[in-house]
Amino acid sequence: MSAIEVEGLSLGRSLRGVSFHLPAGSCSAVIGANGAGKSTLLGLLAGALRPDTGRARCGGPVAYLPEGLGLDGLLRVEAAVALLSGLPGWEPAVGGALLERFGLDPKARIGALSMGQRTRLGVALTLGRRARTYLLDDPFLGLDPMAQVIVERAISERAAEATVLLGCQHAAAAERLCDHLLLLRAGALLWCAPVDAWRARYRRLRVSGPVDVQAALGALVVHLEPQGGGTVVLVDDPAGMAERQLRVAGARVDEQALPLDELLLWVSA
Amino acid sequence: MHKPTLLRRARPGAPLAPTDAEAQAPAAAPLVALPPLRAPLEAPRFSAAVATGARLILQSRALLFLMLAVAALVAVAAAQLPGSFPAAVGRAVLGITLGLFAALRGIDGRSRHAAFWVGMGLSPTGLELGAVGLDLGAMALAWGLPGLLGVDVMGAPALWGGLGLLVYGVAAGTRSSAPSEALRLPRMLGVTLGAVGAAVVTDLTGLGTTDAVLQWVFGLTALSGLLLRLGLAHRCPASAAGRGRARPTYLISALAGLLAVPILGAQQPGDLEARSGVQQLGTLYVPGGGSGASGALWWAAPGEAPRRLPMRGGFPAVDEHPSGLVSWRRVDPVHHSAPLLAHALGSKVGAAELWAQREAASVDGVRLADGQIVECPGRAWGPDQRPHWVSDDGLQAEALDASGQRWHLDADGCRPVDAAAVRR
Repeated sequence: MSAIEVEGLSLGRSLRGVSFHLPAGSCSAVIGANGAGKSTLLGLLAGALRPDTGRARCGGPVAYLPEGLGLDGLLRVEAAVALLSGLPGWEPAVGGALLERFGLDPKARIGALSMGQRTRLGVALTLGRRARTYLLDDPFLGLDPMAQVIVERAISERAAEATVLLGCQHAAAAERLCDHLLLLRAGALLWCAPVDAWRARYRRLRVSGPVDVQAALGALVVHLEPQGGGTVVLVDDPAGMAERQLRVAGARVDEQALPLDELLLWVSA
Repeated sequence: MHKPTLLRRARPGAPLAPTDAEAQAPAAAPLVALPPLRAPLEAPRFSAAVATGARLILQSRALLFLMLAVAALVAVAAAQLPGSFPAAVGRAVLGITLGLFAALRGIDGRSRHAAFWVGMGLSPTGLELGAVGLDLGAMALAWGLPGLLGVDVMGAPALWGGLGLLVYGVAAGTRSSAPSEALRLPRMLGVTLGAVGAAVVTDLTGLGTTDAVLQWVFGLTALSGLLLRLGLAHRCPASAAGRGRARPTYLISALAGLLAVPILGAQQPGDLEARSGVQQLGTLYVPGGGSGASGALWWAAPGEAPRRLPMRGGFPAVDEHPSGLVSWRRVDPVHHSAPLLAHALGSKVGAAELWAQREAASVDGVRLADGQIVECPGRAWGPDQRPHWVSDDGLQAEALDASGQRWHLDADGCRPVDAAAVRR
């Protein structure tokens, strides 16, 4: 059963005919360059935006963290907590523990908090609410490494009992947390698949020896560049043929680790 | 197309994750023991959204509300001081603060900050309704507080209240038109100009008195602004946040005032009837001065349907006293507007004849609080254009005519004040 269903969702130039389904209980990340449409997609799913065409359905209730928190800067932290605690679904134990762990001054005005502190507050307020679907737009914005670990853990704990969709620039964090990835480019959905599918499709190979890599691999090449007497090539190779073809051509081939952020840089370029 | 070079790690084998930080964090135990999810989960009600919208504004804009409250109290206190100067200062303070509050709160459509709450399942319309309700409630309280305390601060409270509402409505109508207040300001000025233009156009139609035209045009502009704000809160709650489309819906608010033309045009003759002079040229229908009435005078020649008289130049004037007494006058109509009047009446009575009957056509008069109509035929009231004294029960009045002669009006008729029959 799908927890998030999106059919032909469009809004202006920000999003163009996006469709996908995500299973209940999944943890997914929408990734893409700035302006790719991540925040627009999450805003549409949360109901903060209305689409021009298409429809989106989330298993509710939903808890939504807008990009940069999106709470009035003149509001105090304790006032925001008090407002939220008056709504159904707020779990004081969870929210309180997260706020305490993040070390936020309850008397502080939200506008006086740093970007990282605002993100921490937003994460605490959002994850402190019981929901079936959590939509978190850039929950790692401005976080220090320690806070990032805490946030990642809290998200993974919530993901164990609910559906989570992240809008995220941190591909590495998305890779650690999520089982599905969605790649947006210029408002269009390029890819929606389990993380393993990425790994199975793209590879980075270091090739040495007297061989014309481009000629040997043909359309499999996504990018290649000379490096230290050899060639590093990124291949789109779901069938796993590239390495064999290069060896047949007389090359020595070593597969290199391909971090997701590096792959995304290429695929979304 | 430019292709970026492949990334190289600064240090081979460097970890992807911030492992130092992970090592410092408690590793084994979960960060927070999350309680099990219980079903069913409740969605927030509409009333919760309204309450949250009001509380949000109250807590984040407390200073603005405090400023309004202080201005109201200053105005009340100043009105108690001797002399007219402190009262005038207090009135100015309250008036300026009310206008400032209305503009700042009206233009402050912070939908960017509503996104969080909308995402928590709260109705965007409910949130906006709570905010608008609180704003209007605070303005009404500041506007009505002096009256409740029995102090006359505002001078013309309806005017101040109307202007405050107009400013708020005009500003509110620019919501979703731009992502920041600074960008909405020129649109607000545009809506104001549109409303003024609509008022001029409507006034030129001659369908109502200038007072009635301003009431309708500015009322419609303010109302459309409020409705647009509430409607757009539902349709595009975060559009002013730079996401989604900025919509030129404020143009609707700028032009809404023109609806006054068909509304005024559809009004029928008032319930008052006065006979026009001793020679009985026809019947003049004089409406009450109630809110929303066009104030138009209607003329019916014998055997003909009533026709609306032209309004230009302050030709008719109708005033309603709180006691229930209604007075009216036509400002020397024949002298100023004989050809126009002849055209409007559609009668065969020519301008020259009307001129000759000028005195007879003057129908300055009053309707007493008990409904009885008393006229002073042939007497044009002086500069006040209305009775200068009205009894508390609305059954007697005094007026000055153009020559300075005082006239007394009551159930027995219209007489000079020095006449023996005058009763007080």
